[in-house]
Amino acid sequence: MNVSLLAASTSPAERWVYAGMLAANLVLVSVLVGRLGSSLAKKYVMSLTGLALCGFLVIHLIGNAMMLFGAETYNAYADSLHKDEAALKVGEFALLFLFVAHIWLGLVTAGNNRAARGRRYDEEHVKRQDRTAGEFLAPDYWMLVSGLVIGAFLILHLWDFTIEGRPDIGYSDKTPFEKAKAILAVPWTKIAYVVGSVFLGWHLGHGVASSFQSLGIGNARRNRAIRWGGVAFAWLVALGFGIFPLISAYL
Amino acid sequence: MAHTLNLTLRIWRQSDRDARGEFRTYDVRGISTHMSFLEMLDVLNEQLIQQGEEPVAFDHDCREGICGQCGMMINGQAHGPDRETTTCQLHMRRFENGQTITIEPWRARAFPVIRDLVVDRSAFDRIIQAGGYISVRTGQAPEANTLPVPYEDAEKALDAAACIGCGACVAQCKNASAMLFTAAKVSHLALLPQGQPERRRRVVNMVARMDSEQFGNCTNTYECEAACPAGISVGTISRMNREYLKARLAGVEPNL
Repeated sequence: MNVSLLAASTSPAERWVYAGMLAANLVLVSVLVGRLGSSLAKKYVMSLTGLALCGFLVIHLIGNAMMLFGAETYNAYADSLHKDEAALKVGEFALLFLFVAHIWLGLVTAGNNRAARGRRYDEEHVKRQDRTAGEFLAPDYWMLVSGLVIGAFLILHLWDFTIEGRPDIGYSDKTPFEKAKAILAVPWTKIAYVVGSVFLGWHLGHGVASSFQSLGIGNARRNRAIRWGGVAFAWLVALGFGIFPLISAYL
Repeated sequence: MAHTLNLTLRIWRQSDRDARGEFRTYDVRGISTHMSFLEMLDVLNEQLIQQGEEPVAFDHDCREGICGQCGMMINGQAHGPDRETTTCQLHMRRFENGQTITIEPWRARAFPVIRDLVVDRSAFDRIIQAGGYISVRTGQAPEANTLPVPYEDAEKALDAAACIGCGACVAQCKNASAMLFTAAKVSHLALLPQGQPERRRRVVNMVARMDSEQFGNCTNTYECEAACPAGISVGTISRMNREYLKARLAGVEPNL
């Protein structure tokens, strides 16, 4: 066996570009967060980046759906994304910015929130009467946890598809369609992708509706629709993305 | 249903702000189910005084749910299990004979414990000072119809004004956030014509003060609304988010 961990088709130069993008975004976001004066400003950015990422998810899901129409359609779609490499890199930079800002603020606010309580309660129970299962599975109590799981999944996902760093996948001789099928054929990867999709849906089960509240768009009349719309979107994302690892062998 | 209860109380005891504090367990017997929660604590304190021990310190004043003084975590819930109820309005019939009740003070870095169940809520006062006021001309009382207020607005403003400042929202919030309190004050005045001159300055300054008091961020869990004895809606938080955004976009800077 003569495969190094980094032996793949994405060139080393391109990897340096991605490393540079990440570094630049970390600097950019640290400056931005430093300039956000208030807790509300942080929540606005949290909401806007979250909603923008939801928009990206929709586009991503439409891209996935191309797989249903066969290898040719999917490959043509993948090629069309790479038609203008410079524009793609700009898009990727913007996307990375959304992720870095969202995750950074998530960590910062989680730290603030923990500190704000001080000593923990000895006993703590919810008072909302519509919480039938208590807080056990309510997504709003687990946003940091679900977010971290999604973050870990994102690293795996980018490593698999963008960095193309998996030693067990021979990238160089595969079309995009074959690449996706080969990655999703690995049993543990299949499970990881389903788990990632489920956590993403769980995260959005609170995140979408919460964004509208943080941006001040909600009111008594609209809140019901916003809440159910958010939950419906979360299910769409969880099922939509979660189905591909399960059916990839039959495509 | 028994008309008297024998209870075990686990109560947080802390002699002053800097003391470590600990839970201590007390037994009370023959508590009438018609008593309020505070009357039950009065019985305990009588008992402690007779035994030569320090009574449990807790805040209370009107004992009819409007002053906002009383408040404690009762079995892990702010003001106990009932909706729109303060601790003084909570009846002992909500508990069962032989039950153990855990009683803790509000926990928030912005609300340091002064003694036992009493916390320092002056952070709320400072948020009010930062903008919870209006400018009025002095002199004679104005004619009542000079400032017409639409019925809808008056209702919404008074719903927000129902806040009694007890701190249950902060206590129940998993992040110890004071958003519901601050939003109630901002909403109350932003909805009325009398509140318009300071409308933008108010929201920016009150939020800045809220942040500097080191309350947590809002995660939109809405536990505050469920714990609020005055029934303040989280719609006020949405309104404050809106008000603050508009004020900052208009270039208003905090000035504390």
